[in-house]
Amino acid sequence: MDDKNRYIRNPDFIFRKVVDEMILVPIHQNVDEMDSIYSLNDVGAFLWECLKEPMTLQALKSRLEAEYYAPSDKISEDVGTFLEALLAYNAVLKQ
Amino acid sequence: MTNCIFEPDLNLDQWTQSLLKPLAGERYPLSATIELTERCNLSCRHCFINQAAGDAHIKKAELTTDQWKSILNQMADSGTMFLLITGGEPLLRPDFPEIFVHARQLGMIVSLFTNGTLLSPNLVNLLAGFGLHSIEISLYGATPQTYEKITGVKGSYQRCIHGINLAIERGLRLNLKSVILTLNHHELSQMQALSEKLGMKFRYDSTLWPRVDGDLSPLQYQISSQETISLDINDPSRRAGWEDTAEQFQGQRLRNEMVFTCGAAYRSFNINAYGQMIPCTMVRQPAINLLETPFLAAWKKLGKIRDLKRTKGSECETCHINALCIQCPGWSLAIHNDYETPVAFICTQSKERAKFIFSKKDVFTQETTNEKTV
Repeated sequence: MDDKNRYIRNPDFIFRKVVDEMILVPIHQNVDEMDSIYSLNDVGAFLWECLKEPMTLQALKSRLEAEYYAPSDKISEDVGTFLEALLAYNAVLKQ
Repeated sequence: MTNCIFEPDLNLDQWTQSLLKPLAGERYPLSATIELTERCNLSCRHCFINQAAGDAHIKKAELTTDQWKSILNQMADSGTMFLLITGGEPLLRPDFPEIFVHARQLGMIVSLFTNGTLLSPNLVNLLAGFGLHSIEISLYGATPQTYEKITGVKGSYQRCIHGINLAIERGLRLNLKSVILTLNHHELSQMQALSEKLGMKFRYDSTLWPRVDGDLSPLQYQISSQETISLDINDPSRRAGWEDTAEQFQGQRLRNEMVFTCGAAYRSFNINAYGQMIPCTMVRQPAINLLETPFLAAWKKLGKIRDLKRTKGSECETCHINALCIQCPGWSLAIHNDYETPVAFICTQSKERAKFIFSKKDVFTQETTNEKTV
């Protein structure tokens, strides 16, 4: 994962807030098991919102840093974990 | 698996329970059933809702595509996650694909109840491509003669089987279901065998409902209580289901205080073909017009029925076998036009069922003793 790439939401995943859960629902897959629905925490939901437009890793970190007061290594870790997981889940695309 | 034949078998119970945990007892419009149309291309003799496929007057009164989309948008904004699309025959509406895709694009988990006769290769591709959660096809017989005696439409059996095959070929999560009546009772085991051969789950109901307009004519095809009980105790999976329920709720008086004890207007609601929000498929009052009332205001209004307390002092309030009884406000409304009065034949049927399920227990004996002393 480097800063040359830009990342964006996969439009085939829909963000929903249901009861207290923030989830991503794939619209082209059968949601037959609960592990096909991805739950986000507050930071994840914030980053998902940011990714409505293509963003670099650095830009994402800056946005998160501006929103949450946290040490920069923690910010880097959170953004990295988020991107890694959602790229694997195919909910985020690399451009 | 749900006990209510009007609800889909979602296979997501665990996930749903964890989702709902923070709510405690609070109402939430999580699950919806939408009846796209009451019209149907079949004319099943026992059906509680079907109208003629070509009825122009009814067609005109149905919601438009845009109206359905607008209501679905409001439902999604309010947290509705599970959507069952049913009818009538929902595939009769040419805009079914558009409405289905819209619901999926809102992130709803969608299930479909259909008679299967209008499925086409294009349609099953669309359903699969947009992640339909499950499809349940009604099978009314194991032979064309029996099936078409019920549906009244020549060639419909072959079209249903064709639809089933298309769904299987395309890998849709398909379940088969039936309603057992005097006209197809003799083919139940053949229908079960066919489902097994196809590798499909099969469930059936054996209690017929009056029509939604109060017409009792479907009940002429009702099998006897003895026959229903015989199905309940001789079908291993059905018996196991009742035994599990009995064990879970043994002796509990489930209807001693509140009128509504199921999920209707609590976690779920229906919307009929004309845009009215109603508690469930069989409780069609109150009906709140969503073309005049915003969704959340309608949901709030619907919730008033959840506060209703029993006032009639009916036998249900002291009955120990509620868990083995399908009596519900829908039945009372259909037969007695109120929410509480017990329906006699359901009561008789339930007592018979309890005799067998509790054959070695004292629960039914205790209940019988109470009755005698009153």
